[in-house]
Amino acid sequence: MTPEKKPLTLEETLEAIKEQHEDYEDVKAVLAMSSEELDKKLVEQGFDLATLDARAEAREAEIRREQDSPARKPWSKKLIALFTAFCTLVGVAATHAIDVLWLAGPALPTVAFTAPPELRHEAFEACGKMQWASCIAKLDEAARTDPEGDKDPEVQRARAFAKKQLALQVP
Amino acid sequence: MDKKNLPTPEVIDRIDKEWPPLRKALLHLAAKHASLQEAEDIVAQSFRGIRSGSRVWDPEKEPDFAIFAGMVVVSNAKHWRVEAFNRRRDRGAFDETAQRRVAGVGASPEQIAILKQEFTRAFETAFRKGSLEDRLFEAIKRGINHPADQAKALGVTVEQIRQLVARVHAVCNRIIQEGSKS
Repeated sequence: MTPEKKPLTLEETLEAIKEQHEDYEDVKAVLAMSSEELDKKLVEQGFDLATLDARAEAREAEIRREQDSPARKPWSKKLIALFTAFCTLVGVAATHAIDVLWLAGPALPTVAFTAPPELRHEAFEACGKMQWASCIAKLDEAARTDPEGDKDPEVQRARAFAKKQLALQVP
Repeated sequence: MDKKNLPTPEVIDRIDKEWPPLRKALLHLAAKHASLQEAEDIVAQSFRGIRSGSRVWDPEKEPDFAIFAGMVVVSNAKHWRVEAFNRRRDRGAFDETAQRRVAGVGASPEQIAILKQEFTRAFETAFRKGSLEDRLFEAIKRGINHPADQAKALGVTVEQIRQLVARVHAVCNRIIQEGSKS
């Protein structure tokens, strides 16, 4: 729910109504275009139709993989919880070995196990909300424990874009 | 991720099925507001957002997924575009003459005051009957600018909001046009 803002002036209200109406009309008009018309428009805009679909499909597949990956499924959280409980039990059993208890303590659980994909997902969410600094911080944090995953083109593109936007925000 | 908005597997299936045929249209919409690379990023980001539930699609309230996806892409494209503020400011509301009259630009201070009073009175008169159009006008004036929030505030569907916005826009346009002639 968007919080209520300061009341708009009459001009701002009219502009908001016009913009909302025009956006909708624009979307309707574009959706009504035939495939040939869209191809023509996209070529006019400078897109390479030969590679367009393949690129889009690859990115969407990556998003699906990331969002549907086991790391995001509830059962994996249960697995982590079981793993944590197991570590704790081992620690309790070795009551005389303080160092083992320390290893099995609360520091063990989830961070290294799930952090990078989860963090990257949160980073993309932050980017989507234009929270550029948070987006970059989360990507960097994920990169520290998973440098390989950081080489993913989408991750690199997101970081570059967020940095660019952040730089533009600085007065 | 906002887990309470997480789409159901059935909704995700529908998104996955309905998205591919829309790709070109969505890209064309995004490219109206952004560079080519940014447009592709915006479309991918929109797909991610809708699929993850950060942009909530409720098929019950908004059955037309294409319209919903298109509006998300346009919204994202506008937000991503750094120059959005300047573009909006430059474009002006309604036709330029009318906009100048509403704003009172180019008139003496006395004329400005009278013009503003006239327009304010005209809009107050037009939107004071308590109809859905009137309530929508007030909601927008209060800064509720998202169709889903407007729908919630008025107790109607998003689709009805789209139709109401068109009617409110037409009323505003008429008032502006009539005012411009006086």
